Amino acid sequence: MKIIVKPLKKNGLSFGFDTSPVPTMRDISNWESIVREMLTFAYLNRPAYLITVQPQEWSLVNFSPDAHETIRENVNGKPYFFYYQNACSAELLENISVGDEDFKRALLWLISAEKNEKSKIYEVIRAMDESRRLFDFTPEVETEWLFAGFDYAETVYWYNPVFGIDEILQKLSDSAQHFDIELDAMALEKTAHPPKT
Amino acid sequence: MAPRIDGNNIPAQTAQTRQIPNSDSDEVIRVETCIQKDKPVNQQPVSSCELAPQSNSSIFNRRNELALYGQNRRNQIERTFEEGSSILGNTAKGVEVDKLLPRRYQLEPPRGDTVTGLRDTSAGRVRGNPPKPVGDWLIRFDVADKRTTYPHINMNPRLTGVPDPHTQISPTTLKFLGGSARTLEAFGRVARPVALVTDTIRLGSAFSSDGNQIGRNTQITAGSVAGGWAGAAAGGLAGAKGGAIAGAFVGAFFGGVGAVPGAAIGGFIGGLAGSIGGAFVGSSLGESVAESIVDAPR
Repeated sequence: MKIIVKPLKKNGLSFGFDTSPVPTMRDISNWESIVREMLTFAYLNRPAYLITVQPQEWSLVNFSPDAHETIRENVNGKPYFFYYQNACSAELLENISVGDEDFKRALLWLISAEKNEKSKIYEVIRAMDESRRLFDFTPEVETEWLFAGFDYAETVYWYNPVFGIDEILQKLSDSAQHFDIELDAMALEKTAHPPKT
Repeated sequence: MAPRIDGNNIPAQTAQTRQIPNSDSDEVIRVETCIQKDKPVNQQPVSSCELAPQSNSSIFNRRNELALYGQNRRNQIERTFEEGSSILGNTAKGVEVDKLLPRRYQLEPPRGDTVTGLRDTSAGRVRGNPPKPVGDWLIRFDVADKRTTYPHINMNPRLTGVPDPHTQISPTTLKFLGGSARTLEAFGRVARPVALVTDTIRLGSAFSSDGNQIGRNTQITAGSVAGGWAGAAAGGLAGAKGGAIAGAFVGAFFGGVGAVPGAAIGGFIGGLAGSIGGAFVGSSLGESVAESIVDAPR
């Protein structure tokens, strides 16, 4: 198993594990732990909107203590849950990263925004809608936005991170080392330090 | 007194009316004769004495034929309507009962890359108050994505215990599965009103046939209606269990990963088929039982 880090078009990065050959159950479990650590690193005690795409009765925010504050909105004919947290707790981030199927299937996003900054949410939704299908091309947004796909959150996308790329790489490297997993950040380094011609 | 014959039921464009005075009374016999297109009627006047005896008999026959035809047609339409509403009603009952019964496996809604699938309601994280499992997807039929570049089946490794093989399927199969799931969902949404309306119509029709009172037809139809609901419930429970066993048995032949999804697919299809089949059998049984009770010598 190997973690591959890639740059996103404008400002951001994606990191995911190599799914070829088919990952073992242990690989999936280790990856969940790494995602939990990264999500905690990214959002612990920070304000964020949790956006659920096409929410269902089993969606995570339905079970949160302040679920009644969740706003249900239809944007471009598609239903969304807007759930605001002024300081994301470790417990919430663990619930998201380990075992939440919406997060694993790119149906639960974390968007950094204050409560009155809903325009940022609409910007992200619009950008996502404009892509023909999820991941067909990289949406262009100015907002900090983190989500994962495809089936088991194999790849995490982090747009406009508040942290520097080096900080993120260091954290990823520490997590990978803890589970004895190789980290491949060649693609990212090439973009950050293009060879002189 | 001479009979009064009225030929108004014969279509006008094919007939010509003649009024023949009756010498025994002041009544008039109205006779209609067919007009032949190639022979103008006025050219060959017919004597009333010649026409009357023959026409009377043929008109009676024609009227009887028409009356008989009308009655048969009405009976046929009523029978077709009764059978149609019974089929529609029992199918709707089956689908509705299948929704109401506690089912371990349910359809996965289309979301994201997923077109359809099955969900295990007894799996997943335990949340809520009182705490209960939120369910987890077991099988998903997904469109192609950046990583798996073809339409594929996902099997949840947490539930099957083996890594997801991302089995390839054709776009046609995916489309068919998605279409079937949507049809089932759409019919499921209207199943209850359809079942109730058809039951009401059937009971109303039987009540009317009994001369607006509860008679033999009403009692038998009521038996059929009640039997349909009971049969759907019994059939659904039996079908889900039988289907799960059969599905697991068949699935086991496809390697270790097959038994769990096999049981899920078998249970889901078995439950639905059992409910629908049970509604028909129950309806028929209910009808027979009601009939034997109503017709029993007192």
